Amino acid sequence: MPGITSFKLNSRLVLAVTLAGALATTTACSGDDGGDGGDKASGEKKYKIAYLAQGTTNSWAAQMDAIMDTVAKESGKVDDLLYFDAAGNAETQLGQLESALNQRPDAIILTPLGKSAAVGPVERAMAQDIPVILCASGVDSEDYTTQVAMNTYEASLAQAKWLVNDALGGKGTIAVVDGIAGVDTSEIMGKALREAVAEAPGVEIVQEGYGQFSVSDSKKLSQTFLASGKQIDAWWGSGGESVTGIMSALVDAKPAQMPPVAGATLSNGVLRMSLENDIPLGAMQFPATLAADCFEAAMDALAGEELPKFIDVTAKDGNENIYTEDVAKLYNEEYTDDYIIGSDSILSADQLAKLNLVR
Amino acid sequence: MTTTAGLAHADTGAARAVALRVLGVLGVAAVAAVATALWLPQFYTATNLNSLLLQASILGIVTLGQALVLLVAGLDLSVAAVMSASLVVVASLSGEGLGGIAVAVLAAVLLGLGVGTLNGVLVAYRGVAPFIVTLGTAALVSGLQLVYTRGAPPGAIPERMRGLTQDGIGVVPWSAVLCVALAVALHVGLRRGTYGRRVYATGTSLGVARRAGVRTDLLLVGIYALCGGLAALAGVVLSSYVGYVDGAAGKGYDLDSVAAAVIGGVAFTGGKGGVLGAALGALALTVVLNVLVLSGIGSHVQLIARGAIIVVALAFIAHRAIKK
Repeated sequence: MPGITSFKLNSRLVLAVTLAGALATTTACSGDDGGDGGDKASGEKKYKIAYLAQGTTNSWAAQMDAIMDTVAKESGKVDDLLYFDAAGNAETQLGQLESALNQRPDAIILTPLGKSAAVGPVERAMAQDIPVILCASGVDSEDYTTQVAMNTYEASLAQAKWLVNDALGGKGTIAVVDGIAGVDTSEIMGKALREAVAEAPGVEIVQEGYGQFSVSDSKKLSQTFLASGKQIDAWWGSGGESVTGIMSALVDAKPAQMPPVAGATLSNGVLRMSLENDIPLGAMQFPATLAADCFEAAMDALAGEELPKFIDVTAKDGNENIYTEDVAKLYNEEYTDDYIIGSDSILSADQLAKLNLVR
Repeated sequence: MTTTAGLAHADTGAARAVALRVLGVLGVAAVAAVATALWLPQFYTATNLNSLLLQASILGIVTLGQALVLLVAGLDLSVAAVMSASLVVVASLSGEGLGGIAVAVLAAVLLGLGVGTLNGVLVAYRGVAPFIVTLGTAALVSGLQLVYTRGAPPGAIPERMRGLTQDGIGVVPWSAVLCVALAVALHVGLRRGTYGRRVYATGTSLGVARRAGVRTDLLLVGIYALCGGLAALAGVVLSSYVGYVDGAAGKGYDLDSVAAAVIGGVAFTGGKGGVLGAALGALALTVVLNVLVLSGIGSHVQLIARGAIIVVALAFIAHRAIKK
């Protein structure tokens, strides 16, 4: 069983209230700290792993952290899991990377919050022969051990083609709710859709805007699209929040027939809304179990295995895109809307309950 | 007595200026309304007007509080965090019964009042700059929310609450009625009696107001508390609107409320403007965003146009203030 060490937010605000808030955030994210210092009896080498997480700013990240903690404990190979909570802030993460390097970990698992900010410390870690596993997204450098992630572009393109060709039959109009301008995930997903639309002369994007990866903003935008009076045959939202906002607006508008919606990253809430309101759905997975894949890659790297630069988990069993016919099968009414499909393959019912994911 | 009379005299001129400013906003709005009718007739559909008023009412309520704080030369950047926390409180505490909903709404408003009071105390009694204090309390509230929710807020928004934004009188949702009622009540509160004069005097010059016998410390605490309470109430309305437990639902309302208040004629430097103008500013800002989306222009252009319109509007207002 590994010991879990948490590192507080490196807040730059000096006010006590700010520090209190930041400390509170960190406390929330520190998870189980009940490590026992490792199983020395087995004689196997135990590792010190630095896990630089996004921080539990949303339920996906909370599930990632819990899964990382669980697989590290269950592996029996980790003596100390150094947990760094960046609270969703790239600059905070930069400082934490420096702190992590000072702790001389055997490997670093990093969920980058910015493509360029982390480059320096990542390259320094590699220079010190510390393997760096990029988890979920990448950095602007080739100097890292491996990146473990979904292939967002390919998964999005498949959904986009489903929307354009299967749901619309190659003819119709689409309203698009993108995420945040300039943010990779949003731009990649939007690009995939627009490429699919470009190949279908009968399909046209008639409305588009940024929903800021916010359910509330995406709903406002979708309502305005609906009020525009334009014919909208199908919807695309980049990411779970965008799609939830779209669906919520559609549910309030009560159209005679619900149009198909695609672009979601899958959560129990998206499935629920699709199922309850008969909304045809195309969605990609962005599983929290990715944390387990990242941990496994770190162990492989420490075992001296040669790893590819990109480990694509898109094709892994259970990570495939899902469509309308899969919705009822995957939805689990015991869990809340924030539950990410597949997390219960690693997390116990108790762990899920502690994360507020059980109704 | 002399002091009160002096304040009253100064306020007459200020009231006239505010009235002119409100008329100015209404005049611009009227011209824009005609132009919009010609350019985008779909703007006037019942669906769009309902959606517009609904969105404006949420921004309007939080802007009312922000305007009060701006009037006393303050600033509240914690309103967005309070709105999000308010939604989480509503989702967590309320069941489907009316009693549970009432308790949850009360708890949310008390939370807002508490955060506002903390802001006010730190600003008034510790002399910390409002920008720093409210940025700090925003982090505090968000942090505590994460402690409580661990990233996944529990509960659900009760269906019974949806009526606040789904129902109304014609195209006017109940949330808009609430916003107008609050704006009128606050306007009357600021314009009738001595309380409003003290607010304007404090915003114009804290030192002079203090020497004139105004208990500025208590007044500032009260204003910040009211702002927090209104932000929480806006969060309750937002809960009804979104109908989904989104722990970051309030994101963006901090700066939008400041922009709306300033567009509505509230001076960033304090002591000038009014809550009716601020509410109209919220409506104007929502109309701008609505028209940009309805016009069907590309999403990147929307961002540029939105920024440009806000900057031009604020520059115009600042220019007029300097001329005066």
